[in-house]
Amino acid sequence: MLHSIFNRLDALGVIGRASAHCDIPCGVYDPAPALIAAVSVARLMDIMHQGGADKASDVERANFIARCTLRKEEEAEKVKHEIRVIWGDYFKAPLIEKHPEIHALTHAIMQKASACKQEAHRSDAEELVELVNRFAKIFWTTKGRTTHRVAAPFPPELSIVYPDLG
Amino acid sequence: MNLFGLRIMRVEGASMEPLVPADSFAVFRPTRRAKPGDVVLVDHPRFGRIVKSIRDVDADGISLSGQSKFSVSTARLGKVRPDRVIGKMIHLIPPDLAKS
Repeated sequence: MLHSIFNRLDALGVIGRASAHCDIPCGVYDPAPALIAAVSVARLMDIMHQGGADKASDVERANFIARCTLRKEEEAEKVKHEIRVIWGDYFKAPLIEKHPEIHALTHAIMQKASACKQEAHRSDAEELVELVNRFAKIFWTTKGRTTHRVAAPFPPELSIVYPDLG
Repeated sequence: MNLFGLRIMRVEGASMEPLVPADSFAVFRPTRRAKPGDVVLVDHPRFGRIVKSIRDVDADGISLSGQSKFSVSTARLGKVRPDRVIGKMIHLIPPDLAKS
């Protein structure tokens, strides 16, 4: 009960934080955020290509495109970050020996995500999703999990790799 | 949060478990005489505001350690000056485990 009271005070921002963090990687890795970000890049491109036709003025359209561009940039960068962390922190020598293609694949994701930032070609976004799908499949293989592909139940309904966790 | 000279902090992380569970609220009282075994709130020059146990006190400063084997090591924490110790923990409010 006392903890609940302090929780409420904490929600008001009146209680400070003291760190007792550990000095080890937490070991929690999952390529799902990278996949979601990659699909988001494709979705944002689709929205951008629609051009904000429903906007009332050129200024509103420019504002709309600018916002989409910014979000596309952020999502593409998120792909790069998430993949780099898994590649750099999770994949170690024994896994790399089993999956030597992981280096080239990671590099290809970096390059393709950058291309998605520089331009707005839908084909680049689709290729980015496919590369991250391949990465996810390898990742789940290292966890002893099979995977399956399904069309994402949200626009742009691209095919995504999911692990069989059941 | 300061209350009658006491400082109340939320403890994030598990390096002080099982003594201080993650997400506990801890109450600290200012102290100038921290001694080995005390759980203290420290303004660490490298790690910021941290909660650790005092391992040793000597002329060179105060050595700190976590309770968990996964804590940042005493060697990495280094020694801190006594005036870096903000307070000694005098009360702990652990998370309500029944709700989690």
